[in-house]
Amino acid sequence: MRPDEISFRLPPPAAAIPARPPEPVPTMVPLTIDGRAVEMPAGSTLLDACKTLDITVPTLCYLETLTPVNACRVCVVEVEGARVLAPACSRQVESGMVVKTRSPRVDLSRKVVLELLGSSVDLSTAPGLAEMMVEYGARPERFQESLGSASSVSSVAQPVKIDNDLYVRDYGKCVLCYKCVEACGTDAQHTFAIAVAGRGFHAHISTELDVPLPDSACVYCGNCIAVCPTGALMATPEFELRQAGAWRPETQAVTDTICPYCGVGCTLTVHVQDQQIVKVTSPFDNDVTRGNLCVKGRFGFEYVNK
Amino acid sequence: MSFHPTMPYGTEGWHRSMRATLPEGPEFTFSAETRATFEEFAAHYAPEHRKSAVLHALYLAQEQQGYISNNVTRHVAEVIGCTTADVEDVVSYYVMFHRNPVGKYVLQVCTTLSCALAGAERVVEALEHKLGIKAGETDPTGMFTIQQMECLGACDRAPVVMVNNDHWHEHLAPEACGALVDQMTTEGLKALSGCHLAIEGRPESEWKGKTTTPVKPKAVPDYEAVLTKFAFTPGGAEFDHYVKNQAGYEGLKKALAMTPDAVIEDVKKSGLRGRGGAGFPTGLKWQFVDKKSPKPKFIVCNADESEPGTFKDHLLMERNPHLLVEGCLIGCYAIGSKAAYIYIRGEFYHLFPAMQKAIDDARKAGFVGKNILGSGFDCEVYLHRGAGAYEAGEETALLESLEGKRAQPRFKPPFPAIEGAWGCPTAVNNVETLCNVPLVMTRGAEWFAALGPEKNGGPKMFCVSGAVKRPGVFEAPMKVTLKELIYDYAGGPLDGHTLKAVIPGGSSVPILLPDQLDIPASFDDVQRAGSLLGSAAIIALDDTTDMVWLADNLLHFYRHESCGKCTPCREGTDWLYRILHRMMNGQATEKDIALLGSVANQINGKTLCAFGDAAATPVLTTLKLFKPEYEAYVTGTQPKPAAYRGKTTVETH
Repeated sequence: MRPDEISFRLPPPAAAIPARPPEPVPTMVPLTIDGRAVEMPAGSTLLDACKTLDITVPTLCYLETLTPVNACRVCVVEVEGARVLAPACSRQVESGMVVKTRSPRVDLSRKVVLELLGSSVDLSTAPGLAEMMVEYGARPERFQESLGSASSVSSVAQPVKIDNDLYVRDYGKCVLCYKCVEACGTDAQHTFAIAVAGRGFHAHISTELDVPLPDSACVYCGNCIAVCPTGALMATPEFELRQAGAWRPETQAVTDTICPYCGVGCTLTVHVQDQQIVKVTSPFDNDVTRGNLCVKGRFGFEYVNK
Repeated sequence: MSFHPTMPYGTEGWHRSMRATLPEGPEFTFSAETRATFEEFAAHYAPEHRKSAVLHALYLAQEQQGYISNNVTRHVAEVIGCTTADVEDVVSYYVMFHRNPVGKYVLQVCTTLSCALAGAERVVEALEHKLGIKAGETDPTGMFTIQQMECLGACDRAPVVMVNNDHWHEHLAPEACGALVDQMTTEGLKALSGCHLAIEGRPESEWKGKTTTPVKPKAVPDYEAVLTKFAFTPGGAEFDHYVKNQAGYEGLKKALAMTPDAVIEDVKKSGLRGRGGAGFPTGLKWQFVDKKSPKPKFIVCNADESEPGTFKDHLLMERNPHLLVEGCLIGCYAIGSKAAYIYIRGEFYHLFPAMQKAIDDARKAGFVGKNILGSGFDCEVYLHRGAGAYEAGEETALLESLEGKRAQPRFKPPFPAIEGAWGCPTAVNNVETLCNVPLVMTRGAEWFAALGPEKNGGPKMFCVSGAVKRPGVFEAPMKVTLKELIYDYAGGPLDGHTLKAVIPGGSSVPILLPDQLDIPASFDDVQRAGSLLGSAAIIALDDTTDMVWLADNLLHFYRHESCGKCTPCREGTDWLYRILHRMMNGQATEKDIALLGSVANQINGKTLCAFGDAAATPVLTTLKLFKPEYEAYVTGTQPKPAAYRGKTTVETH
């Protein structure tokens, strides 16, 4: 590179302050969901439309701050005239669409997805999933009943990976939603410390060559923990309290504050139990953080507890 | 799959994220020469898309060191400019990369349906017996490794064995395995039969009549083959021969004299439909390509032929490569693209130099490169090699693989015509489809459309394999009936046997019964009969075929090839395989049949791509047509396995 390319030069001052570009006027798309008419801006998804109508569509691998990967198939809805069910998180609205968010086909599909996941994955710490299982009548045990012994079940609990002080990885609880991979990659952190390895039923989340976290590219931002929907990735204090049977979210005081470290001023949500900070998160709808934090904000609270 | 970190699959305490430790290996860097080769190849992609060349880098590394150690993965990441995790997710996805040191010769035995019908399972057993090792292991001398593979796309020469990702041995009878191993020990690769399509410089007796028997269809008695007319003429694949005998590159000249839109109009008028499986009108697909987009456009040729039972594109690329090159060029001209990428499945490595030679010869004659024939049209044709993944045959997964990622499908819409390769408008076309394009140009859309039944025009390649006397690839218009293909072209069932059922379009389509075969083998007629023409891979099943075994074999394939992205397919294929396997082992109960049907039904139509439907089909169709066979397994009254070709036909020990 030539020196003049690296030397810092101010851009020439603008002759006039440019006018603010006009707000784009979105084209509105009319569609019908569960018999109710709604108009949505072009480019929005069926899930957005459902939210506008206060219709609940369950999701697992979807998060508003991440690019949808369409992996879990929990949010599928029925689009009239389409051969296959459409994932609400990705399918964009089209004019005249007629959508059903609950139909025998949709319910069956959701039930089966939950059963298949439940048959191989420990979903005990996944918030909301137990209720979802009840709602859709999912009975993962029906596979087990049929096959008899536990040895014929593919996926069983494995030892929790504890290789650092900040968080643990319990892949026996992983539903392969790809959220952590996305948060570590292009959707937030751009660290690319974790990826999916293997394929088919052997696909799994892994660090590079399966090395322990301290040897990997991980920077301990903990943004993967923030997005994990099942508790497969868990900060150490929460994990230890859960192990001791002392994790009581209902007794926790949840307070928003500002991170004390640098000048960015991220919003921290501090979870306090028995006068101790037990967890730090950040709101996903916060304009500054979009739910993301760095190692200091997420894990650097020990000095308060001491 | 054997070379992946071995999983104690199915044993207690197993979990998908448990892995055997992989070897670190010695320090690794590319030799200066290899690095230069790589950089030359990487220049086929835009600098910001360097990751696209990752599979090529891994192949080069494997050539240099024999396997992909952890140090190789790290070095490749450095060369590409991404993290190790980003390379590891690719390495661990594709089956053609060895993760552990392997023997001098890796015997890669195809065990998918057509090969299994010819006794491939016995071949594996015979090799295991001879070498004293199990599949996936290397013998103590370090000479041989046995690897079980899924469909290698050579079903007419079953059972087939590939050696070291490149060399072929066809028609390997179980009882000949011992002799082959002995011969290879002394003679090395010379002991192999080679691919019968490589006919140059070989005596006629070795290849003549091994495949494609010229038969005239009854409905079109004066039909003369166009795609395969010179397939078995020595030198028929050469540039000069192509120009002289097949009006070579005349189609391109004609197209260049027309406007791109007129070319698309002609292709639409011809009624050419995609030959990859879906039968979508090609002209329409090209018309959908977003021409107004400021981004570059691409033609991507899908040469990832891997639907079990399909082996037509292999023949076209090996014996008529210029037809494909010309088809790519015309396609590029029509959609306003300056580059075509031909994605060749990893198992067809020998086609790589052959296709490259064709492209280079065409370039010398001024048909590829800048300002083609002085028309101002610039076009390049590049080759891209896959690395063993059936899923890469799905168009969006193929694009992901082209971008150097795991071959996992994308959500549609947006369709590739709007956002395809590297986010640019792209048309993905099958090899046979593009090979038909020059014919539309030279012989005219009317000729093309008139060849077949309405909306099913043009010549079609049919692959017939399984329990027939003369398996092979046959070219005929789609007026030919399925019955003719099986009885007249392929010689009918073996002596002393009768036809039990037919899979008309590759393993992913419903089965037809013998009384349903008197229909034209066209997209529409086969669909009306309740199945699909798919890739026109006809697998004949005779009275010795055990349908539960067949479903078990195919589910092994689908479970192995599922990409693992979306839940119903990842978990569902595993469950289907487990239940079927229990059934084969005589442990199933009445409940299992119901469970099998319900799981299969519930995968069907609920996945991101059509793979889920494909995987459910073998179970659903056999359950529908041959339920008593399942019941026999539950009650323990199934016929003895000895009566079954797939189970035991030849005594090996």
